[in-house]
Amino acid sequence: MKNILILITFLFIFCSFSSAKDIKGRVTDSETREPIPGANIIIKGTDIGTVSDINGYFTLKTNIKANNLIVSFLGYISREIAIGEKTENIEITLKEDSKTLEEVVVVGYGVQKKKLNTGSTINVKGQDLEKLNTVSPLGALQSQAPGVNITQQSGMPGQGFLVTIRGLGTNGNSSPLYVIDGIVGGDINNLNPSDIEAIDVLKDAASSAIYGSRAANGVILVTTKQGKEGKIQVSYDGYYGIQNLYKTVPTLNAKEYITIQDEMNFNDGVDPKKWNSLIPVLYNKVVNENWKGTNWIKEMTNKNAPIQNHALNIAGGNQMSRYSIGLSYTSQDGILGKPAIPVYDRITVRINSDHILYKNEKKIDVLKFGESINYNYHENKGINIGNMWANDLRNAINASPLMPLYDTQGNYFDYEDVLSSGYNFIAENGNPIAKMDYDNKDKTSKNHGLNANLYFEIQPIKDLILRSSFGYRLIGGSSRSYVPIYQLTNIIKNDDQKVAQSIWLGNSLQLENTISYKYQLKDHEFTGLVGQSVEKSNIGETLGITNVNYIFNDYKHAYIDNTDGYTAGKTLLNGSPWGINKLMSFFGRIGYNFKEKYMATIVMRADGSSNFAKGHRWGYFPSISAGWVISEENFISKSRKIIDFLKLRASWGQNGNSAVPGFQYLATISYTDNKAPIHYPFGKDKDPMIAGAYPDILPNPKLSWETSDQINIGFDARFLDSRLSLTFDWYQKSTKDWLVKAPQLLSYGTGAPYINGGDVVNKGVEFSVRWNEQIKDFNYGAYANFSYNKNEVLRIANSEGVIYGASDVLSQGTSPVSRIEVGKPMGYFWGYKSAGVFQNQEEIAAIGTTLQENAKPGDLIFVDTNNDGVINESDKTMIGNPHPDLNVSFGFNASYKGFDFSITANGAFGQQIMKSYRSFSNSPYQNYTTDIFKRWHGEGTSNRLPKITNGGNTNWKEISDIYVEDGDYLKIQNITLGYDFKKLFKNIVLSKMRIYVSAQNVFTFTKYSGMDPEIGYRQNGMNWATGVDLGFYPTPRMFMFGANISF
Amino acid sequence: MKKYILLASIALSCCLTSCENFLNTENLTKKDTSNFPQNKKDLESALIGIYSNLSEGVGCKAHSNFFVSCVASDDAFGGGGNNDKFFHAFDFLMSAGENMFENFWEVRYKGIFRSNSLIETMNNTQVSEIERKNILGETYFLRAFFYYDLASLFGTVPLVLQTEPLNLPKATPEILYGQIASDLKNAIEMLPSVRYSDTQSGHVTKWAAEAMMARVFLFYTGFYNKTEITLPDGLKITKANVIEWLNDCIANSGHDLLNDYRQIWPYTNSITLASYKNDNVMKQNQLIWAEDFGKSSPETLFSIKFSNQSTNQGNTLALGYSNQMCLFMGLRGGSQNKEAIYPFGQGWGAAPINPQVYIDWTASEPTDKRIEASIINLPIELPGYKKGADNNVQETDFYQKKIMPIRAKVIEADGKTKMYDSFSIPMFGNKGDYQTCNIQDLILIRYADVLLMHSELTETTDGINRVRLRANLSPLTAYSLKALQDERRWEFVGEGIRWNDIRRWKIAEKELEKQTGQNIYNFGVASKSNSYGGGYAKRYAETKGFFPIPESQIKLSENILKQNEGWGQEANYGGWTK
Repeated sequence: MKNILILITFLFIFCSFSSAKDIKGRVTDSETREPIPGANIIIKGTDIGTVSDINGYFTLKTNIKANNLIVSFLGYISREIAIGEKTENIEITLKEDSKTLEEVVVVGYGVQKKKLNTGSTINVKGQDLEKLNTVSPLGALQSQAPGVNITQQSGMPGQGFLVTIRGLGTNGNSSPLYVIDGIVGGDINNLNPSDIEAIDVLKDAASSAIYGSRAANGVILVTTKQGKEGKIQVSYDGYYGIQNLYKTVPTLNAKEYITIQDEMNFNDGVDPKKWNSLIPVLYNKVVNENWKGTNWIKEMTNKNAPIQNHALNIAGGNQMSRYSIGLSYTSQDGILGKPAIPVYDRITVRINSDHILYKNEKKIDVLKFGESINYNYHENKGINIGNMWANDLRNAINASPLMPLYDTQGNYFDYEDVLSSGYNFIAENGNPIAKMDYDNKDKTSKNHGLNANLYFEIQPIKDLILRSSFGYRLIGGSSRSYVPIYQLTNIIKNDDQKVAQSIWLGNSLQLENTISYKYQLKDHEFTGLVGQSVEKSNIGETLGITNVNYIFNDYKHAYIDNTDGYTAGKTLLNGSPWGINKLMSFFGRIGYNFKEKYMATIVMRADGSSNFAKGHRWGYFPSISAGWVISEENFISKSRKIIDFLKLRASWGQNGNSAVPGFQYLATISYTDNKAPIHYPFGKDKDPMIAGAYPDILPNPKLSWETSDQINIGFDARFLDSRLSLTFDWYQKSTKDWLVKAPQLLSYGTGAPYINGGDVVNKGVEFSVRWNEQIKDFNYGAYANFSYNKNEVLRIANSEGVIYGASDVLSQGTSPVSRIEVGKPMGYFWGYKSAGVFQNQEEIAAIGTTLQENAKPGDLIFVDTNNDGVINESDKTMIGNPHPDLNVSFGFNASYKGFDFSITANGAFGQQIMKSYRSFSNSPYQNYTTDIFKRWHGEGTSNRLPKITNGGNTNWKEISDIYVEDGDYLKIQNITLGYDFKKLFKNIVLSKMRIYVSAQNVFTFTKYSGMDPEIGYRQNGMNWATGVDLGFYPTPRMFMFGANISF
Repeated sequence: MKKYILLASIALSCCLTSCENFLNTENLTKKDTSNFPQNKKDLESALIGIYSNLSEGVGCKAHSNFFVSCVASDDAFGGGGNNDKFFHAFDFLMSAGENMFENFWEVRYKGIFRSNSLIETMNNTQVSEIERKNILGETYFLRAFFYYDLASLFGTVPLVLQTEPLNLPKATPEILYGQIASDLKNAIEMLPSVRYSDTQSGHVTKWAAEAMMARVFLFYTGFYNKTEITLPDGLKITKANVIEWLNDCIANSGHDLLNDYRQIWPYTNSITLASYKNDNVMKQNQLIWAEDFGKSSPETLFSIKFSNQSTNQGNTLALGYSNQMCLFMGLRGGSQNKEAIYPFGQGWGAAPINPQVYIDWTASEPTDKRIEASIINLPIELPGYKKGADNNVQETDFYQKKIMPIRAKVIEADGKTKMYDSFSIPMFGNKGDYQTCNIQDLILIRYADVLLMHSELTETTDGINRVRLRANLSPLTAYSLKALQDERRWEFVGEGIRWNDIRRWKIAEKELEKQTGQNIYNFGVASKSNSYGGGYAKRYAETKGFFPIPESQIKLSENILKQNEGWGQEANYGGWTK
């Protein structure tokens, strides 16, 4: 207190003797000329300073004579300004800090100057994601991240993305590790893009090695918005838009359908169908073309489906405390599925803050703490978009056009109508829209997620930081559904009013302690980090009940309490724990640089996982990387005018994958077999209750990590006054000892355990080029990213060298379409090659009847790939590759005064798609798309598609390249045009009032005949079996209108 | 600084010691072999796990030994639709896919693994000696049954007797049958001498084991030209031993022939019978099915049981909870008039009876009551039946009526008559559709077989004459092999027994060849039956009636397994051609 008194006294004396005046001026942005509020203005060499107001004006009260001012603001280059004698109307412009290499990047357990980073990472700013107006941040990342292949799982609202970094490296879980605000394992799709400060993608092993055992597929680090020192900033971003289906698949109308069906029967030598007796009521209308039949896709299309998003962000703080708060609401309706329209509604709440508790006399932040809390809630409704058995869109594509949607009373055309109207032609699916509606209309799931992280930092001496952080992740939710009684065919029916409820709740805990230290010895700088973490995840339970005997008949009352009693075989109960995973880790990192010219980093991590047996639990993951900033060398700095910056990087590292079900080291006992309950009905008992049991796997106590080993060489360069920047990387990623459930001899008699049994190598290059220039008020920039990857399997630990995908994928009774095989890309399409269609008997004779004994004109010519004179399984070969060779993305943006314009595009090339909308082998009456017009129906009519026959015929039933198409595409993802009305109305209190219009998924350049070439299909339980279109819910085209307002 | 390093290292070393404990987890949802089986309930579960393999085998449908035995024999053709190439391939002894038996191979080895596992872990449990013997006896029988299925279908297979995985070559017939006989001997000795009516139906009994032993003995000695089976311990099973066991079975089991042959088959069930217009005789004489409402039949020694839990969702086990053989052999065509074919139900039209069976039978035994009881003579019995339904091929005028979907009519509360796809719906409360509602037992060993095997082994007429008596035939005065062979052919027509009979009697080539040139219908058009791959006799000579083991297994075994003879490329059946 005494000290302060003395100080005040001194100041008083000092002031009274001063003759200097107050300094007044304004701080603006050098490019936009917008005021910069909150800028710091300090008289050089003193502590005297002030902060600019909302309109950029400042008044610096001082008694001393100021010569130079230092003006600074976050994100801008600080300036020192000589003011001379001037004290009024000092106009100061600050230039935005475009020297991106001075930026820091998140590297895992810390940050690093981008200039010193020796790995291959991508840093994407939140604002770049936000302006693309996607529901999930990953949707926006699609066009921003070379080497990261992002594919939507489905265009249905609320569906996620398939993310592969640098090629598929495993047959198991190939998703990267997500770390949101330091917490491992959250769901990035539950974040609103407006909540994100930055996303960092760690691509090479050296960068991701710090995450060790789970980083084999790369790491995606998400940092949510943090508070900023300065005045409170409030911003609102919102848009409203409409979405539409932009491309449909044309199906046959009623008359065409009859023609094709007749042709099939003719080809099969079967009597033609007597249509007038099969569809007595409608037949004349169809023949006279008074009725075209039902177009099921059109009927289920939801026109102008709305989408909206509103996000509010508040940030502020002072030197000791900073905070950031975000609120958002997003709602999206699906474009397909009417009247059971899919809906996704999401609310997110975020509160981040950090506080300096104690700053010592040397201005070191001795004690600091902070927290980040993200809460999200989303409600989901959807239709079936799964495999061929549960796919409402597919059902609509292949439903018979001869069936009406409604009966004469306006109810769904169902089995009763079939019987009463004499409709003797039951298409296998029945009424697909009725089924979709009954099954899905009354089904909602509600999901809650909470990510919370709390940390303390102690800095006892300068640059020695001890940090402790505690992460908590909670996932909970409930779902409820009601299915009424219905009957659509003799088989498709629901006999009971079913009510189902389920609920789940669980959490994950994570505790981390790190010590980091920075030490400078002349030109040598060392940084070090050691740390330790423990994680316990999947601590949770699920409980579910399905019951019948419902006493109401609506969704509102559909709770288990409103159902009566227990009905054997119909009341289903389940309750289970999630299966705890535990992980314990130790890690360290040493960084070194000499004059920021030569640099190196060494990382080591040790992980112990509960998934493995004692003695096989610990894995060690080292990495080393080095960089050389050539542009700092004397011999090159002379040419600085052209080359501003050039850094060479090289790295090597190892990391792992432990994503495997637990307890593979025990012979576990199962009471079900492939999900079917086991029992045996002794005596009179037709409803037996005693469950049978058996050991379901052969134990493998030796199971351990899958290891990925990666070399990366690259450079970063900037030319022409940093207007042009280039980044290039070459990598080779070898994944060894996959966790494989390899086929074993069936005579072993039970399930195969996981073994470490496969290797794959991914090699590729990534190249990105960026241009930015400002010409007076006109700013523009463009970028292009290219990534090329080649995937090859090197080893499978069984004699056949093959892992098969599921069979019955395209149609019941068909062989697997995807395989993993040594020497081929993972999950390549496997089938017969065709060499056209036999046009006539002469051609058959020429090929030789030994090959295809019973061939007839119109049959497919299968290729004898192994030249053994017979066509059989061993002629099956690679007929396609679901992985693109090349992924590209482009962007262009420009701004002039208040106007801004941007366009982004992304595409993939070199991949194939396997397509089948019909269950051709066993359901001959399913409808076709108009593709079938290109079939063979007489000499010279087609040399690709064989004649139409019942699907059991080898022409169609055997998987061949007739189902394969090239999937190359380029999508114009986003076009936005905006104007900031602040330019017009300079005096409004707002600092920004931008209004924009935006179009998404504007156009797709592709030759692919399906609705959407961006196929996010993944075979159930087999992440590697991709690229199959069974009726894929496409991405909508959207037009939206939005505003960004801040003050 | 030193202080921190010290602190850190102390913290680290504390952590490391507790690491391993932290990483220990307990499986909260599954037991494992260290704590299962522990008690009687666990043992029951483990045993049910083995029995359910019988269901799963039925779920393999066309690819099961039972189905193959039905269509490969001269009893029946393949039938079904023109795309049912497996039906035809098995009839022609051809191959319709190199891995066509993979599923059945897998299922049977699953049963063997589960049996081995129970035998290995049995001693960890606390149960009485009697219970232990009961469970082990049933387990040994089932393991023998599974191996006999494999040995019938493939000849020789790897003999796996432990749970530890070993890549084994195929065992010789001597070793394989030695083990089968040894397991059956164990079962006979361990299972109690309790009358069949005092045991729960479905469970293996001593009597079933004795009959199974006779079946195995007859096939092994006949097919492989042996006189006895040598057990792994060097002991031998002789004809005298087998006769002694059959005598025991006949004297002590309580099993007997039913009075009327028709009572064996579910078309005489009480619900259907009321509306079965073609059979007044049965109605008047109250010939009710012996298994009506779940009763035990004295004639059944061993059968596969079915339940209401069957679902058709691609799961072999769940599908096999219903009698898929009924579905496969049911009358083809959803468009058939249900009234016209009543009480027989819809199926895939597999295994149409070879007309030669009917011709031979009516010629040699015109008064045999079993003819009408066993065979539907379509033009006479079901004149409204439509031929050529759903591209039906290899169709004949005859179907068996034993293993069939049987419909039923019930007068409902509103006075209307409702027809059900199976009598099981009103009788057992079944809720399945026409593919899963057939839940009548699949009989594998009947008492008539015991009697006829006894006659064959003893070369006496006692057994054969009891069977003839029931069929309204005059007794034989002297035993002859020809008479025995005929009697077995008539008694078991359509039951899958004939296949191994003609193979062990070495008459397969001759009898199979008679299937060529028979009157059949393809797509409803009258035609003559044809053959593939050079003819039935040639294919039999090349294969001895053994089918190919899955190529996938040969590859996986790194060629330690060898393919059976006669299954090169020339054996490929491409599919039905007109």
